[in-house]
Amino acid sequence: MNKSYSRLRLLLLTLITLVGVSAFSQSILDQKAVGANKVKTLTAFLQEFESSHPARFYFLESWLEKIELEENYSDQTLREVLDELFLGTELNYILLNEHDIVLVKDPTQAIQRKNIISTAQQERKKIEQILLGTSTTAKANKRVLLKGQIIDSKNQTPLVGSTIQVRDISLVAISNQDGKYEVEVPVGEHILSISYVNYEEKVIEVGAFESGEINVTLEEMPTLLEEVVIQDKEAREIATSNIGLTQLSMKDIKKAPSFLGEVDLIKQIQNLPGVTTAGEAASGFNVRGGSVDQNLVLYDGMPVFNSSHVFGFFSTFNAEAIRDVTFYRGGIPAEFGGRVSSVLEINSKEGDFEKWNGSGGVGMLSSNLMFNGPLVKDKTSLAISMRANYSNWLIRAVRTNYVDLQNSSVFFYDGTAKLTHKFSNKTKLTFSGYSSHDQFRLAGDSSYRWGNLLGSLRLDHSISPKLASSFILGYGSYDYEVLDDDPATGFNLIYKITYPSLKADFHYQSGRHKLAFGIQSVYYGFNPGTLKPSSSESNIKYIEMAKQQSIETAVHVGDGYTINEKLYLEGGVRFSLFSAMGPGDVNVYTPGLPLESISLIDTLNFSKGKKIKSYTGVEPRLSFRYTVSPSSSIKIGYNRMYQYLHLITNTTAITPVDIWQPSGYYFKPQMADQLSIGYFKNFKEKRYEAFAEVFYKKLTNILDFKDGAQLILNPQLETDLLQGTGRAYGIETSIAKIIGRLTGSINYTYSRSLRTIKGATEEESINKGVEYPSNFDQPHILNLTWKYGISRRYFFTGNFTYRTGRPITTPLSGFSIDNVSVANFSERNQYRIPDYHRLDVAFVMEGNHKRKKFWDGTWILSIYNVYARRNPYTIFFKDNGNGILRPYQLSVIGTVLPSLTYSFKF
Amino acid sequence: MRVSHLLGLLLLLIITDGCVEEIRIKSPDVSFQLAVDAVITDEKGPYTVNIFRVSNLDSDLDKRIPISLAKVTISDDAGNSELLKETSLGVYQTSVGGLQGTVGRTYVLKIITKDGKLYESSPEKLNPTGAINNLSYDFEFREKVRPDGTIIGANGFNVYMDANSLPVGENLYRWKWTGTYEIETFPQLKTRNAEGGPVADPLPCSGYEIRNGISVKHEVCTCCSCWVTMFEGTPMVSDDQFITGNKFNNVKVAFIPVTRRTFYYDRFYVSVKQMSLSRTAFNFWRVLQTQKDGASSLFQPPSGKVRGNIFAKDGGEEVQGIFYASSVQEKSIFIEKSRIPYTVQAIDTLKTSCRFVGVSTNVKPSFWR
Repeated sequence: MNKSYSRLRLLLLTLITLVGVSAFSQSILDQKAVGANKVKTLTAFLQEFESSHPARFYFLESWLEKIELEENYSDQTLREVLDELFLGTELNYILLNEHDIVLVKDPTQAIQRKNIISTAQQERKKIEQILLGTSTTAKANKRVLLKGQIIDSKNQTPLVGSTIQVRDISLVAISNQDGKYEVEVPVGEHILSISYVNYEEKVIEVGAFESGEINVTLEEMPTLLEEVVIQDKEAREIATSNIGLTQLSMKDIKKAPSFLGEVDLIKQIQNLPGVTTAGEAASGFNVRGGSVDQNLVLYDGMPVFNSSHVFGFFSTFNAEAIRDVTFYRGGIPAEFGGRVSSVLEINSKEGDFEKWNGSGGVGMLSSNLMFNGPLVKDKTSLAISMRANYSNWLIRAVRTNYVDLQNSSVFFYDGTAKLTHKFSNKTKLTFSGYSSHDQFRLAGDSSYRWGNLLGSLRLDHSISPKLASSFILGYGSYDYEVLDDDPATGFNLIYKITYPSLKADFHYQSGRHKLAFGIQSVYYGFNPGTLKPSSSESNIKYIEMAKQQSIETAVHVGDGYTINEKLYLEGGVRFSLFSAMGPGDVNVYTPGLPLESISLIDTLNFSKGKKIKSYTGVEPRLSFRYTVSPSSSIKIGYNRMYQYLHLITNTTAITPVDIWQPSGYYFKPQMADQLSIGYFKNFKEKRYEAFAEVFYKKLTNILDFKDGAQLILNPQLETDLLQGTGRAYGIETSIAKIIGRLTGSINYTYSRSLRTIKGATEEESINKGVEYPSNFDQPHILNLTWKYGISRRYFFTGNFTYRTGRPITTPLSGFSIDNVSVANFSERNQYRIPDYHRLDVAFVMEGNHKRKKFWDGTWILSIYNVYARRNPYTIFFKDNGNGILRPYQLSVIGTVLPSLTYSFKF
Repeated sequence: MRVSHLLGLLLLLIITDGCVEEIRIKSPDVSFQLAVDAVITDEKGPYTVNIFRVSNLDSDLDKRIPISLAKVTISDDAGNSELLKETSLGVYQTSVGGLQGTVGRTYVLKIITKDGKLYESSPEKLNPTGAINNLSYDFEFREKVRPDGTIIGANGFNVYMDANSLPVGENLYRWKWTGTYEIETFPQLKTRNAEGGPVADPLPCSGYEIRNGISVKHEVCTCCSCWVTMFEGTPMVSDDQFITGNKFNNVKVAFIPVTRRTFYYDRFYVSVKQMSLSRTAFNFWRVLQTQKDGASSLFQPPSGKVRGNIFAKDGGEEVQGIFYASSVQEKSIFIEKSRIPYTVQAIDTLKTSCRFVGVSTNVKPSFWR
């Protein structure tokens, strides 16, 4: 032994000069570990190996005392045996002179752990120490299983999707539907950091000498410590399997500059890479070349059909009531379906099970209030929120030459309620309700009214520690009404969709697999429009469009498989079935002729419950992550998705009078295939993170309208619409600084969105069948956001956005025929409107950061459109006085718009 | 849904000055393109073909650039063909007693320009039409007064039509109206500025002349009394919605605004035509109608291309406009001023030739009584 030791010392000297010598050439290390089955300890094995091979090992025997050989390693190479046995220990080996193998103690990991802890201490993170087993009983080369549950400190609800990071060996786990996680680590000391968006990160020093349970309670952040949120975000970017996934921090959203002081979730979505919007305040958003109807917006699991107040100036979600928001634009998991471009999953807050508290905000336009607390302590909690605009002071205060404005009104509200009852730790029942309403009235003219109503009952039940289930029974409706009470021409136009739905989801976790499977079914009832005269003198003809009904059912199964520490694969498939059902009539047209009202020859009648047309779709989903190093990863995602409902519009933004048309006899479902590949990296000690993601998307059966199409109250809608294909591709890049007083990001996206509609005749084609840019093809998008901490309580935030002007169909010339002036329009979308750009800034002043205080208030002064850019809200064409149509733009926000908001918490 | 008002509200919502302004969109100059306005009907000829260049966005539609010295031919599938005569610059006509449009026949227009380029229409079939049975009208208040006293909208008369559709066939029609009203102007009162103030300067057509510094009538005025023709701003095509039992009932085909000019005298003449169309022509007028209808809407649907049926033989170059064949049924009615439920403002004194008021003539039309 002494002999070995002296040899070691000698060799260590030479070692320094030999650093970098490869230990990986074909060598003694690649020899089979013959004899490993005969012995029980590593020391004995090494001696055995020395005797049968021309090899010499140099080491201190005390280092190897605890390392035993439990498995039969005889068919593995020496390298494999050593790698396996040394994993998680501080031991390493170096090959010298082809035969000499030096075992060294490598303190890097211990130093790394120490650094992590000291950094965490500096950042005032919570650090706990947990010991599982003792180092004396431990076997050095073993793996142990750490598992547990991550829950919210206030209401004990599981935090789904929290990140459990083993910092010293760059291993990451994500908690499942029950907030549970499992992670296998080598025996030894490790540092876990547990984080969740908007919650304080917890750091745990674990002496993991045997398997055990570590349950973690996270506290919601009392103050807005950006570092915490961002660290969390960074870990997720590298760690989460899903490519194209973003979790939004409500705290950040609330601090961003806002339009008229209204915190707006959808507007923040519009700042993400790959997301655009067609106009200044257009409702909805376009994701990777998809149209606005291709986004599935889920509120507590139920789809929302119209997410905007006042024609898109504000969104219908009250930020105070939202717990978390997840946005998927690529690699969409199999449990989501029904829209082909993206999923925006919004989960509302649950009430506190311990004590009552509240929060609210007072803005220039609206105010909101949220209360939550226990009805029965630790058993039942309630959370309710309400937001409404003020009376019409805003309108009335405006000096305008529009007479109608004096008697006009705008009104909107949205409200949420969530009632949660815990039967046991395993069973929970939740009722969630959501309602939004808009009213927009012009004196002596039309008034518009629209609203969403959602209600769902959700049962969560943990069947076994490994199997969790949830069942949702929901009802949703969306309707709008246009009312004109002019006695002579008055009318009332009503449109409504109702959609009761059922959903069952199961999550099973075992070892390296996370299995999710489930079934959902939605019944859609459409009233595509009823036009009634609003008075007996009205000359409006009564029109009632035939009701339509359909059923969409889908089963899905998916598995997230952690192949090893570096590789993660998530695969799934969704099988969807859609049926348009009777009663209903189908128009029949002369075969071989274009679908036109004049070629109508017959009508087929389908009785109640009879299937008019069915479609099925098989939707494979795949996403893959390879962790190249602790600071970088590569992700690949592929998904195919079907969409059975189409938003019929010939305007670029969602307007309240757009209609949703189910697939049926004439309209085939839309389908999208998307492939995306991304590279994620952080650097400078994780101060910066960057990513680049490329995508290619193919769309089939997308709808576009014929020139001169009439879409509202058209019983022969199929004659005015055409179906074709689309494709979109692009690259999204982002660099963000995530730690420090100044944080922020620069996102640049280059992407294209193109359509081709080529029918049998020119009439059934658009642009004669040549590919053309879609309405929202905006190749260059640049977004800049920042937050500068002037002090712990004062922040200066801002964002700048630039987008290529969207395509437009514009008049090129004019002429007159038979004394009627004609504008000669270009082929569709061949020209572009001016580019869009805007700068907003905000100054945020928070209350003091004492943890225990009765009232916590924040002032936000926003300045929207700082340099008063006149960006177009819409483009329209007007006679120039000489009979020629020329383009004009309406910029609704043509000036700087300051606003002040006060929000509070108690 | 008067969407223009909606626009107003949105403007206001911004609290401040949102604004409407003209924008420049980079697009090529296409003012070299040919436009054709041509029709053949089953009414008596002569039929007219107008050939001119399209106007670019900065110009004025009334200032057409005619295309002269072209060889223009209309031929049918029965072997008839006529070379049209250029009666004025860019205006080509068939001769009186020449080619006659006939239901059931198919027509083609052929143009060879001075530089030898050949343009041809697709074949256009002259389909039959149904008769107009009745016209009626009623008065509608549409005027609104703004707080600053300005008036928006105009009151007027809605004109309704009952017509027959065809029991078989496609029922593709254009419903076209033209109006005529009489007006009196005072060209003899025209003055010009001179040193020491305005001096009398009657137009020669007024029949007055200056003799010894005094304006004296010496012959009959030829530009004091005129009949002005009014055209529809928006074309209208038939819609199956209005059909019940082979009849179009109570279709609102025109709105005649009441102004000091349109009801200068006690009546206004409206003529309505039901014109059969081929499918190509129907689509042309239909897209044009939506273009006009949508023109003022905030949620203006993106207007489409109004595709014509005349093509350059060598391909490439786009031609605007249309040549169509139509069977025409017509009916007319006088709208009585007495049906206006208030007194129309006093006489509008125009010190100019009545020939300068719109498209007018000093020859009393045969239908005027």
